[in-house]
Amino acid sequence: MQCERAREFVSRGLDGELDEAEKDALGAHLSGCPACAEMARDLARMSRDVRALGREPAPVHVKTRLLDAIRKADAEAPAVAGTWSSRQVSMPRLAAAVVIACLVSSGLTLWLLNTREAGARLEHDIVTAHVRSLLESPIQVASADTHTVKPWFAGRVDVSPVVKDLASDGFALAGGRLDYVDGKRVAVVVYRQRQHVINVFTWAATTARPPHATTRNGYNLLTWSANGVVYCAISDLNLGEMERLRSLL
Amino acid sequence: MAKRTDFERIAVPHLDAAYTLAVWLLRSRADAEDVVQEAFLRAFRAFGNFRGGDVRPWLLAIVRNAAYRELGHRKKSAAVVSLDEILAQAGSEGGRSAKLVESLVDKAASAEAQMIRGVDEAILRRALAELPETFREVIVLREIEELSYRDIAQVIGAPEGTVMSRLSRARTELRDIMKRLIAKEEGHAM
Repeated sequence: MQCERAREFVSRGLDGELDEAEKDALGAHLSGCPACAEMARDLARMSRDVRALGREPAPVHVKTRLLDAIRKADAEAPAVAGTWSSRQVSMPRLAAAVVIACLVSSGLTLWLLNTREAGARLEHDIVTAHVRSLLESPIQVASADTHTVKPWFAGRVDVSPVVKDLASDGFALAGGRLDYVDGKRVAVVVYRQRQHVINVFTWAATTARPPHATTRNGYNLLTWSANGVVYCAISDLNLGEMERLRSLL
Repeated sequence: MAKRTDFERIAVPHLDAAYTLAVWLLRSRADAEDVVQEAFLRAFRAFGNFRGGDVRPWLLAIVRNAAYRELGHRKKSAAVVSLDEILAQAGSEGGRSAKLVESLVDKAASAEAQMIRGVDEAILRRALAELPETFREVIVLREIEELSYRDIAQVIGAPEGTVMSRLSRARTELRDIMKRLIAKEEGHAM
């Protein structure tokens, strides 16, 4: 065996890519060639040492920045209704958005006449109520103070929903209101993240339900239950942010 | 939506692997941060093309491409002083390679093994940084990432046979550089 060939065999040997016959041939060469034997020892030690260097851990801010950027890229993905509430809204755009929202809402109503599924009707009610609230912003108790909003519901609905001001986590408490969904009066807690409105519909739970996410008409709905109360959050925010809100409540 | 959560679950855990490859290719942590960010965003947009299996080679190929683009920009804008040049000058000024010490193995076994071990890591990092990129990347992918020849072939876009011969040459070259650096170190010590 040539020394040149031995080098390649040593390298492949380190990677576990030699068969038995090749190992024998290399062994025979190394026992008769001190230079190659030394080279083999050096390469083996070097291989171990490079492995021992290990990975370079990415700084924490790299991951944070990356997750932010991915979420942003995801939010900017096309064809999500409800983006009309972003930053600067000109009047013509707002008017167009209102028209679209109405069309969409009535379209959805028509579509729903053909379906009997209670869950679908419930979701439809919530989407409609959400869209209506965006058009009219009918917050009945406007306050960022938990101790103002929470007692306001007492006596008006049969549940006492969790109300938290999560401004430091990006979800500012905007207030609360009552709405009418699926034939019953429900409490709605309103949060804002920048220009996004999140309506959290709440009513008494008959059975516990695991978190369930759906998308309707571009809006994300996230439903879960806790302590005998069903929560259904709806917004044009992406689902990741809504999951985050859920984990905070 | 599902796409993003999938990406966060499947691809983002390989951030350290991506960062490591970028740091070694660019030899700059600041540049590696930018390149990794850019590469992951590209990967996210192209995530629909990922057909299952091990995501790492697919992802590292994108990181590698982004790193080479950055290296290309550097070469065009001579403004950035390349560490390549600095190291090359530092290496050639000595010319003491004839004054070779005993093999690396014997040195490690010596009484000052502990001390030499510390010096060795610095020398090893320096030697690895001096390797040409095409050699450096296969060493990182094989030794640190422990990728198979087939996966490395996917990352660098070359046949497996090329991976094999390039690894062999890279290791020989790395050993030569280390010998030279150790000899120089010895020279300074005396």
